[in-house]
Amino acid sequence: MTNILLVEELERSFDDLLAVAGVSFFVESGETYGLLGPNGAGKTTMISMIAGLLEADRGSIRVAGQPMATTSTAAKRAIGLVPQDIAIYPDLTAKENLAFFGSLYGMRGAALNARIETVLEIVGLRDRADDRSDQYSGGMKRRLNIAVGLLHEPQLLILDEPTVGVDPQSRNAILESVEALSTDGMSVLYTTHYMEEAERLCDRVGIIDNGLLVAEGSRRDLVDGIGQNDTVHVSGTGDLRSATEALRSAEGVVQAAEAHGVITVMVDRAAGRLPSILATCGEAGVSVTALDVSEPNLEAVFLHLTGKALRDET
Amino acid sequence: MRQMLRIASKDLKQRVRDRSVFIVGIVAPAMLALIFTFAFGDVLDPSGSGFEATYGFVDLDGGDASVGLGEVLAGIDEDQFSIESFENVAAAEAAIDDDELSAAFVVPEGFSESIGSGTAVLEVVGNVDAPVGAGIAVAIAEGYADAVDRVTLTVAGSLAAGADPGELDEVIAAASSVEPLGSVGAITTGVRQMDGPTYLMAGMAVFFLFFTVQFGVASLLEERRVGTWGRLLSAPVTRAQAIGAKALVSFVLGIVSMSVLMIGASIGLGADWGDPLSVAVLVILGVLAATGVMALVSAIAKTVEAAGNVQAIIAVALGMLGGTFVQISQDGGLLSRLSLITPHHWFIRGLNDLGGAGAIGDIIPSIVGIGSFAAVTGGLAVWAFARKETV
Ligand SMILES: Nc1ncnc2c1ncn2[C@@H]1O[C@H](COP(=O)(O)OP(=O)(O)OP(=O)(O)O)[C@@H](O)[C@H]1O
Ligand SMILES: [Mg+2]
Repeated sequence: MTNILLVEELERSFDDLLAVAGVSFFVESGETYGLLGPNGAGKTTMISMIAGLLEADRGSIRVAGQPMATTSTAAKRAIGLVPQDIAIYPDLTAKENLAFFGSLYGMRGAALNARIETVLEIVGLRDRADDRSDQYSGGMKRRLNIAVGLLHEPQLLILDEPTVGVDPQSRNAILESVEALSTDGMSVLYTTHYMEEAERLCDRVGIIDNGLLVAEGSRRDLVDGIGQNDTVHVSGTGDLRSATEALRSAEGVVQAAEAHGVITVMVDRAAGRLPSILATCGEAGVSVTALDVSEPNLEAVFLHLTGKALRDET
Repeated sequence: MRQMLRIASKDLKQRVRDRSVFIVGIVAPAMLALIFTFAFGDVLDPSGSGFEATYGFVDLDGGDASVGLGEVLAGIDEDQFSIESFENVAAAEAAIDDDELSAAFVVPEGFSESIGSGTAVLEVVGNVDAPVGAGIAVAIAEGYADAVDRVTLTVAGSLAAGADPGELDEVIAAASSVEPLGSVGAITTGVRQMDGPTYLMAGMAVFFLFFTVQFGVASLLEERRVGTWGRLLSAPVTRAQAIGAKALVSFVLGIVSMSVLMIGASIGLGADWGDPLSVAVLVILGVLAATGVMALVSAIAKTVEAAGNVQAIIAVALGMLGGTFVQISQDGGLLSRLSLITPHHWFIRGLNDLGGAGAIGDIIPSIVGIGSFAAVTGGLAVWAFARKETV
């Protein structure tokens, strides 16, 4: 297998803030690689450098064997970028948006039109193709945003949190299209802070936090790496922060972190620890409203590696 | 180049769809010029040249030569110039002080006889409040003096109350800005000035030009706002191509707006702009100047709104200073010196210099004036874009 993307020692600061702190990874041809990390982890900064929009301070990027920099038009030909923020012309129709971006890659005539029909089909926008995109719903705009990235059949499709702020139905449609593309052999670099998306789509996942790649591998590798621990989610009201503190030092607890009203606790085995978890929460003045136990997953991996919860309202 | 054209044609499609560029680039200037023409029609005298002057003629000599000058004066265009005879210099000067005259020609006693001896002196008394009219009088006299040969010309300013003796220089300067006349007979055709409606149309066209070109370069900030700028640059497009496309769109919009207005004015108002090549040079340079300064603002501004505000202020300030609404008196004061930096001033002056009969050689000062503005602002814009970080 050849590498479609090779990133080495990539680094970038904004003033004093080290947003990407020396990251190396590669994406194999045909593979879907996920970058999983919370808000502000540095995902978009990495993507911007990989797509040639931002100069790196240090390190190197090669796309399809070509060095990537802000001036590298050859390397840019090989990528299709789907930016985190919707980037389409509101005063043009879906077809016009696609036709314009297609022309920048040298596509034209019947081949371009046929390809436009195909991508509109993929993202399910065929029946609205001649409407101006400012008349679309948020989800439809997101789908057009993706269609533009796919249009020229890039060797590497880069999606930066393509499902943020999308209703569940559109979100599912987006995930299905990405799955279909991946099945067809397209190489994909996918960033997200949703554990479920990374688990569902990606062959391998890189976990990033504070600009660093803290672990990398297939879901199985990563989960195996944290041992046979279970994850318990405790929802409740009250002083969750001090309850989390107390849980950290409780017996059998490997890690605990709190975010958005939920405490995520990693324990050696859930079965025997639930009573003591409840008791500890109670002592800390938290009244527990819900409790669930899950198998080890990427979220647990993240908690294990960083001591922080990856959670976000879904 | 091809990428640049692709982006530019996409932009033009968007601008055409938006329509506001037509309002700013064509409808508004045309409407305003027409409204002003009707509102100030009398002042502007749409039927004539718009410029009028009355000259005094004081003949203390009564010889052949002075009769000759009297005939020359009587022969000049009656629509624009009228001649009144005065008994003596004092009466003529009084009329000048009352602003009834732009200037007076004084033929001293013994003038005809002294011509042969080389001591003949012809005097022009100019009205400092009418520099253009006085300047033309000096030119007429110069032409006469040249033709008759060996006549010395003296120019005096009227001693109007409060008149600054320094202003006299201005009269002389105005005289020297008038084309040297080959012969006395050429006087009337040598007077160059756009007529009222033509002046207004030229002023409005160049005033709005600075708003029109914004639709090109400012869309760069709009693309940044909607996120498409980053997407453009993730495609095989260089920053220079993308920025160049925006400048190209500005240029095209500016040229279209100016062409429609100026051609429209020739058809609708009978405006005679003069030598097409010279006019084209003025228009192209004017559009480049407008594109340059607005590109500079787009390079520096952070948001569409900020750029729009600054661009409007610049367009209005340059337009006012440049005399697109009211002619700025070229009295050597601060305002008149400031007006020299504006492309508007040089554009209008260039058209005046062409005045229907001039050629490219007559507009060299305008070419230099507008060209410098375009080069400086354009150069600064390129520099500002280059030092800015990507996206
Ligand atoms: N242009 C910039 N100027 C200054 N700081 C920036 C800039 N872009 C990003 N940062 C900072 O760099 C860090 C990483 O940001 P980045 O956008 O890469 O995170 P992210 O992982 O994409 O987050 P999210 O999930 O919220 O999109 C953040 O602290 C952010 O504030
Ligand atoms: Mg991001």
